[in-house]
Amino acid sequence: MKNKKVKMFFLFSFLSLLIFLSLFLGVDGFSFDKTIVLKVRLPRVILGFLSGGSLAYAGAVLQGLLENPLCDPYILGIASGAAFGVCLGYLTKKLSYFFSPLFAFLGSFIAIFLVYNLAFYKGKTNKIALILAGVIISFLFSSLTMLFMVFSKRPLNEIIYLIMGNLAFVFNKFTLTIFVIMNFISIIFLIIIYSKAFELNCLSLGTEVAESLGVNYQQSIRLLFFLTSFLVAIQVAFAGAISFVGLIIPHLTRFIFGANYKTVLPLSFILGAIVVIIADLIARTIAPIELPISMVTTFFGAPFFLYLLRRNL
Amino acid sequence: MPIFAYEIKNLYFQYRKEEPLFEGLSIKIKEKEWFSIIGPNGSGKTTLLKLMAGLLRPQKGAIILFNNNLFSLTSKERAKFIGYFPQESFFIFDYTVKEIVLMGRNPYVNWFSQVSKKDIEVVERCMELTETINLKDKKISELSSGERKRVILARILAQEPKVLLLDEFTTHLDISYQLEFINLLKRLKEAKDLTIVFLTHDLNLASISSDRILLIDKGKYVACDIPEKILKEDLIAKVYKIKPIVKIHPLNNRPLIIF
Amino acid sequence: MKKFLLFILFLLLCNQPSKEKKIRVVSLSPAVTEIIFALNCEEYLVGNTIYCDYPEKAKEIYKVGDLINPSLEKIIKLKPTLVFLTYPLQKNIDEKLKALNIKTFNSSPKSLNEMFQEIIKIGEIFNKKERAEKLVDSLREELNKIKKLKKKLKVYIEINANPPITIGKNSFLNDLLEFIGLENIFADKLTDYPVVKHEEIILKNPDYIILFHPTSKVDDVSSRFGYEKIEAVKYHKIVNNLNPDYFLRNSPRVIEGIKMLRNILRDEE
Repeated sequence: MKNKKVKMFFLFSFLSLLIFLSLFLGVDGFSFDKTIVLKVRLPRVILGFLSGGSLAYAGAVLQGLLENPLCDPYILGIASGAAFGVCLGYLTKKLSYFFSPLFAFLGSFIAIFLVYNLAFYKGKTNKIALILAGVIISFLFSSLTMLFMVFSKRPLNEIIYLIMGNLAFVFNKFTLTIFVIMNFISIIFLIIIYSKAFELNCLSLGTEVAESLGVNYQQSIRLLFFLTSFLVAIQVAFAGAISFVGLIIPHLTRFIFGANYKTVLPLSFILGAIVVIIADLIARTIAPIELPISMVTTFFGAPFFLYLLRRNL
Repeated sequence: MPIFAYEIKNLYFQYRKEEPLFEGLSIKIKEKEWFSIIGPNGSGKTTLLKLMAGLLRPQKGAIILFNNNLFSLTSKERAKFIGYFPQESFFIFDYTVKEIVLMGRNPYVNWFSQVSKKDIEVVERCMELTETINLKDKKISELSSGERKRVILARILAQEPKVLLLDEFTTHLDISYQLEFINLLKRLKEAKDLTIVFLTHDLNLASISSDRILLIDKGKYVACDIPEKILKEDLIAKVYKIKPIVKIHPLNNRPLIIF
Repeated sequence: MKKFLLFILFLLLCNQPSKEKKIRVVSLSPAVTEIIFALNCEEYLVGNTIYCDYPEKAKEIYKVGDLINPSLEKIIKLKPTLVFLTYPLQKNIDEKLKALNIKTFNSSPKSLNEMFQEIIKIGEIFNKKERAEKLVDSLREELNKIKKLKKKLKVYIEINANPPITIGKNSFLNDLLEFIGLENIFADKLTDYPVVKHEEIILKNPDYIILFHPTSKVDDVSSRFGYEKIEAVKYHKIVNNLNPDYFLRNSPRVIEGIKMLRNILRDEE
């Protein structure tokens, strides 16, 4: 018990230090310019915090729900749907870039709708149907997006950066309002999912065992599917598809704190937030050109995970 | 008038069309009885158990559990009656023993996953009963096969069920463990007034443990009676297609089947 | 009989292909296409890209594909005597064409002067050197009419909004801007089209912002958090009505482009 409390304290203080660093560190070292810090860096850090945390949280849920430790938050086609949504946005030639998160969200929404219709039959589904449906929709939207990019006359940088993930989104009043509303909803979803932490533990033991323990499988899977999908869609709309975080952080959390979802959920959020903020800090200070954040998360995440794997064996 | 834990009436079930498994099976299981189900591979034992656990739905017929229609109960209500011990257990995440036994309290935790003091007490008691209390902080991956089974048993007991449905849980256990488990279950049955439905391949285990045995073959009811009336040479030869020799066990006077 | 055979021989000799080779060019550069039309040499142009859209007639020329991956098959079938392309974008196409023994011409002027020299070279290819020199002279005349700004103004050019992409070390454009007296705040970046950070834009505080993306609205830039501090935003000096083709293509139209830009800056000294 004490050990856990010590670890958590360390984690929180590390997070605070990190936020401080992120706000004041730039390519040329420390800068305390008020406009930059408050209007450019602070939104970036908040975006990193929320997206890193939510993606790790969603990844943790899906790994238990689909009984697959290799699940990441994009397995159900959300990111591909978002990219496709932005393509649709380009078709309406008047798209101001401030609308693109809405189009991304619309794309994700379409993907969620299609996955639901593919995977659920008479309101029922199972983990295999869900994963397959997700993969199919993912491929569908990926290929449509690629088709779009090939035929488009302009280079579609926005879509590339959405697929890679980037925290450089600059807000204005309109987008900030939408961001706040969406994240408010996210927080409610996070809480609802947390109330099901016990059930998630049971679900990870298998459909039949979960049912025998009193979990209404179909009800749970339906609820968790929708909550998690929208959670991911909201983050991808603004921050793009940051890779690796949703997959690895839950495992890291389990490794340090144990597999109980009551701890895995909140701590995956914190760890996910930390990792994304660090990755973003590195991505924007280490080289004169801003590196894509997924490159940093993967570059440092992969060998670290290899180390964990070795220790585990 | 005996109370029946289970009344299965005219059960009709098939996995695929044109391939019915059970066609009108009817049996009654008395409360507090040790009821074993035996039969060759493919006879439908596991399927029958899953139907009784509410994990599968029959196309026709009724399953009455302590005077309740099994399928009009909610999942949680069923979980408070039935403790289902599956044939195989697979843990994708490395939970501790205590965490796993605590999962048995799922039917009792409140809507916000809050665990109460009573839940903790029940869990501790179940771990003591199954002698897993000193393993409580160990990870499930560190346990031996027998220890794992005891943990799962503790989890099931934590549900505070009235019925235990055990699917061949003695496989992968050596003979000392097997007998130990049977004795443990007998003690628990007495202590907690449990009804036990026990699936097994091992006819001798069925013999020494059961009050009654049900023999089924390819989904068809063959016979259901006390061990002496079921474990007879001609009946076993008919169903298992092997001729056994049946003697009386010198120590417990139960049928002893020798192949 | 003899007369008949002589007649047949005569016919065969007449059908010999003429020894003189006709000039057939393919243009993989929209800028060069414009130059060819400006020199009235479009009769020699047998193929161009789908992006060669100026003047109108250029759209009617046979298309061999896009800029990055044009169809080599189509180019070969046209039997060109020369293919115009640009570096570094089409370097690999150049190598492929050279391997097929097709002559190429690399058009990548790094300044206005280089562009003028190139126009003359292209004129020579079509044996129309005089025409080319006349064109260049008239362009230089137009250019000299333009007044340079007394004070150097900083400009930020945006060609994509999210993420912000600007023009970096594209020396041709920077040369154009310098001619008027403007300085690209990102001229020192290592690549041609670098992705930059909003932080940098705010810190460099440009006097003017030019938007070269099609869906740009002035409000989209001025409403960005943190941009209130920028000179260009404070004094409403955001320009979004310039056609990028007049600036990013190294063709005679850049003179018009410079004039348009100078006109927008007419209130500056």
